[in-house]
Amino acid sequence: MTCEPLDNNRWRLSFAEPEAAFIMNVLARLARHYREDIAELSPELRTFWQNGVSVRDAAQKAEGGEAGESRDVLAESRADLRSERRELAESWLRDFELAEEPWTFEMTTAERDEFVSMLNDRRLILALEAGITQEDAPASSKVTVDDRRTAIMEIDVLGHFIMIMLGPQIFRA
Amino acid sequence: MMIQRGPVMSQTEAEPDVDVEGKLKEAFARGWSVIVWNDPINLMDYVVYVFKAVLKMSEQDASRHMWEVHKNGKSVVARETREKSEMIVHRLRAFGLNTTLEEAA
Repeated sequence: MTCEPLDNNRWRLSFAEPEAAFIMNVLARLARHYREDIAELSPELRTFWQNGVSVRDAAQKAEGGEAGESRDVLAESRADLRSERRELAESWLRDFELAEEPWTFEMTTAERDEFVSMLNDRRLILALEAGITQEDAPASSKVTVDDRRTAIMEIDVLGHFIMIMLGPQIFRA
Repeated sequence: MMIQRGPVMSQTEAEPDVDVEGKLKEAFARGWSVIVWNDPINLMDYVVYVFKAVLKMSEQDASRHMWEVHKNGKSVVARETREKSEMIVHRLRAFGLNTTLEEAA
């Protein structure tokens, strides 16, 4: 994958075939996630999508008031965000499906940031679903962008696929 | 005898449209903190980028707050009125940062 600046506010993103297929899968999963009712999500994911106000002590919590109003405002804006991102995920998925190699897209900085934020949503959702902790993810806290790191990540992903396919034979009791 | 240091502003030079009372109220209403909490997934460089993009921080300030989050578990990245803080929290959370709003002590 490459991301090159076209001018001060536009970028060209290019993907190789396996990368495009991977991104399409991520976008499809994101669209499905954004479609889900927040009430139906796991407690961890509900907290991720709803909680936005913290209180210092029980007395402040009991007061409610303005903090309660803020909680409602933020919950509403998060619900709106999910709806907007569902439409974006579906739209980008269609664009990827219609494109041919090389998968090349031009985006403004705002669009690119939204795209990045949504891919980051997928990372955060995966981590919450799998219960990833700080101890589990030391490598991902400082990813450098270089060919070696990209190769390691692809090796990891492909190794994971191989183990899934061979798993029923390897892990026989 | 009093010695005047600096220019003297006469009555006619005062700006009649400045809402001093409103500005004072706004300043004292900045009692809502925006707190970013540590998490195991967001990349360090990504967090620095988000602080710069959303909060218009310099590279140095953004890095300092990122390290504060990483080492201390949280960092207060803004203190504003409730409405402005809500907007900042929404934008930071849209980028995936674990962010909350808290009424300051």
